[in-house]
Amino acid sequence: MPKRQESTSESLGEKLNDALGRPVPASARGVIDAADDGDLFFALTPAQLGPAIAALQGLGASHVMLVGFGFGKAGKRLAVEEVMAIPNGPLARLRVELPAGDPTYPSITKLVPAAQWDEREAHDLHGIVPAGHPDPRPLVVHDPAPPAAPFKPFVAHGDGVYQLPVGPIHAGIIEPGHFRFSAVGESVLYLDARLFYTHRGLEHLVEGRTFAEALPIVERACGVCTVTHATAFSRAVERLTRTVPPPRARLARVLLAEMERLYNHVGDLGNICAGVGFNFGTSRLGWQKERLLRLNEALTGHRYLMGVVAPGGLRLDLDERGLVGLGAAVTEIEHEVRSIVRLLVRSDGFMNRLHGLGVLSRAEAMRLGVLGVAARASGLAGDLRRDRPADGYSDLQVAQIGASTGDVAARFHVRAQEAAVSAALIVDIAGRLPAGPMSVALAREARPGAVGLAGAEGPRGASWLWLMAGLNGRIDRLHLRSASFANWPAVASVVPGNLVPDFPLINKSFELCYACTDR
Amino acid sequence: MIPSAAVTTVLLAALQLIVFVLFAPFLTATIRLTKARLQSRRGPGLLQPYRDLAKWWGKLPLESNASGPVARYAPPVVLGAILTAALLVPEATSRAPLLGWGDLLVVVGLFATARFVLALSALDAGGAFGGMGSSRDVAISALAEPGLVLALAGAALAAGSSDLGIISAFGIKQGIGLLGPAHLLAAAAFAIVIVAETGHHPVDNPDTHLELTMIHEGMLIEASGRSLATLVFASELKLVVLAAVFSAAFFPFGGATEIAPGPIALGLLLGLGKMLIVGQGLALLDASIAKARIMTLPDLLGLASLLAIAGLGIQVLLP
Repeated sequence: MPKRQESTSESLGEKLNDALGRPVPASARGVIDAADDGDLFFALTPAQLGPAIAALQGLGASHVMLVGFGFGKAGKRLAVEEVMAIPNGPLARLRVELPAGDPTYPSITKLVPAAQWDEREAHDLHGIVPAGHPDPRPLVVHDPAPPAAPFKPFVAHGDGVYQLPVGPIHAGIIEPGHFRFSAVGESVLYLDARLFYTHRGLEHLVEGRTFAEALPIVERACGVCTVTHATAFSRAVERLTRTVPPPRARLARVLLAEMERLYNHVGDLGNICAGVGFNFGTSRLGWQKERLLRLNEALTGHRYLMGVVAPGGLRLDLDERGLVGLGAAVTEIEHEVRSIVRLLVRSDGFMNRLHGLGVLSRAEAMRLGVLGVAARASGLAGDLRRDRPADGYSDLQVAQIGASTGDVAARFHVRAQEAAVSAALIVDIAGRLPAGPMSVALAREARPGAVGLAGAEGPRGASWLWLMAGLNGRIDRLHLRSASFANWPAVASVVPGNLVPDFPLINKSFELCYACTDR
Repeated sequence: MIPSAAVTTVLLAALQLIVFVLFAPFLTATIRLTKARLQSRRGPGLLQPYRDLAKWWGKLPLESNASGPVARYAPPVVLGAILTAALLVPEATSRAPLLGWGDLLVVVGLFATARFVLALSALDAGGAFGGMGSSRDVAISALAEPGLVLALAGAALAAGSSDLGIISAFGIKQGIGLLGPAHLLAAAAFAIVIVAETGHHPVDNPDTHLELTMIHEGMLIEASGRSLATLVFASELKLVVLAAVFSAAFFPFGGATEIAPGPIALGLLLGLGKMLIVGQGLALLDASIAKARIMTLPDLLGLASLLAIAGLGIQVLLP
């Protein structure tokens, strides 16, 4: 990190100290760990957490994630760490170590609505109690052991109001989620979603493992964001070990990330067509997605790009033969997608279904901390590729795509335009990938207790990874905050006021993963 | 030798029943095949609907705890109503197998009975999707019914009888001169009704897996085994009968006017050909347009009524 940022961090630290009204412990002032690469770190008491967050919000900072974890002997002591991102500034980590025997801290959800699920998850998985949380129902563990109350969906009551339970077993082959609609006739009054049916405990599974052992597990949090998660993990490890991947790998990671975005966006555009039963778009775009998956296979040997990105660079070099024709093939597919989208946009019957549906206002998107396509379709500009460029993105211009209406049509258009941007990046990079090694060895061992924090902009938005190093180059704690996790509450929030049969379409316009939400 | 009326009835009924029953799954298969080809898919073979029916028929239905006798006995009643309607429609000849047993209003009434019983059985299973499906289906058919009756009334008014056989015979005699503006308007109205009644785009999506968008499928979602086979077959048969009514009332050309093997065979082939054309039309709709927003369906079905009324008006005012 450049020197300038360090000094900014220092001054921000001072500002935060002033805002808190009293000095925080000297050890917690500003940057305390050089390995954290410029992140701000504060050790706070439970009572200081709220004011510190408010002070950071005053600087324009936004919520990234809240991590609950155990530490000390056998993880007996508990702590929470709220991570916030200061625009054009560093990341801030506010850690609260909770007293032994009383793992309670004042909930921050009223201050940071985007943290609502984070806090509920920390409670379910670690037993950390956010006192005063407006919705303390279980989230991850559906039927906790007594005396905790089991999950009960929120429903509306009144004359003619009925409940419509959908899932977790669906008529089609889709991931499991339970949706409880309260509806009058065909109008939805309220929607409560219950996820985490595919919770596998990945974060617990990697504890005590080496980085190399953990990578395939983290990568498989879900099947369609593999590059995103592997990249976030690798960057976190690289920050911990002060490793800089070689130029070829840095640019190749961009290539892979954009391939992932492109095939997801093309497939998701097709899925929006499926939401209105428009078979033309579904099948044509489905075929283009298949062509992209085959390019992935030619490039890396894996259709979904698993096992390629690794700490230090890439685990294997890209296939030369796959790389040669890549630019031309992607250009052709992009033209094809563009002409299909043009036909779709010209179909009144199709576009009529999309306009004005599932509107996510800018204010609501900001309040809930919505990310990715959904945020950009609602007038927010966030994109990690431009806001916090890492790897090859530092030297690239990524065009900003956006829309303001926040409806299904806006998300459709944003996806279509982003697909074109991704294709252009791929064509550009495929032609000028520098020669050289694909990976370097990790520069040093991670200091036990240090935290590596890294994000990657995936097809559904920014996924963040929080990685605490343990002894002997092993992982102590890990938390993966996927973009889908951050966006799910927004889906439930935009549905009321729409019609019951329009829900699948609204859902598909967000197209969130369940698996990487549930982990 | 002229066979007696009773023998004719039995022979014609047996012929029509066998042909309709064997043809119904095939018609569905051709629709699916065309749709698949239009989506660049290979699609299931033409025998797939038969295999599906055979598979379901071999299984006992699984009943939900909430369901009672209605869900159990509804499927045969639904199928019975459609089968009866099938015998009241002239197909190969302008003489319906059950001549004089009921006119087009009885056919419409039998369809309504089938729908009512099906909706009841969907409610009986106690699932939310059944209730949702039946509520939507009943709402749509209530809107489609005026178009259906008025369109047929136009044809009946021209022929001077509500008996489908007489309407069909009148049409055959008129030949190409039948296709006046009033007649075509009524035919267009009836075509819209077919789309709504058989659950194709833009009204319903016959092969969706999205529970919340289902209409007809929503009513079948709790049915299984033999009950499912019966209900699916009934809806396949309903399409055949509706297509037969459509061709008898509006395009009866080629139908036999005398009871003789040659003309009957020719009429039968032409009739099945017309059904295939109707099916291909539905497949084209499914493949080429999106499903409409559910709240805009009254506009579409209102259009059917309007077309039928315009047809009637022209007929009354400009005889």
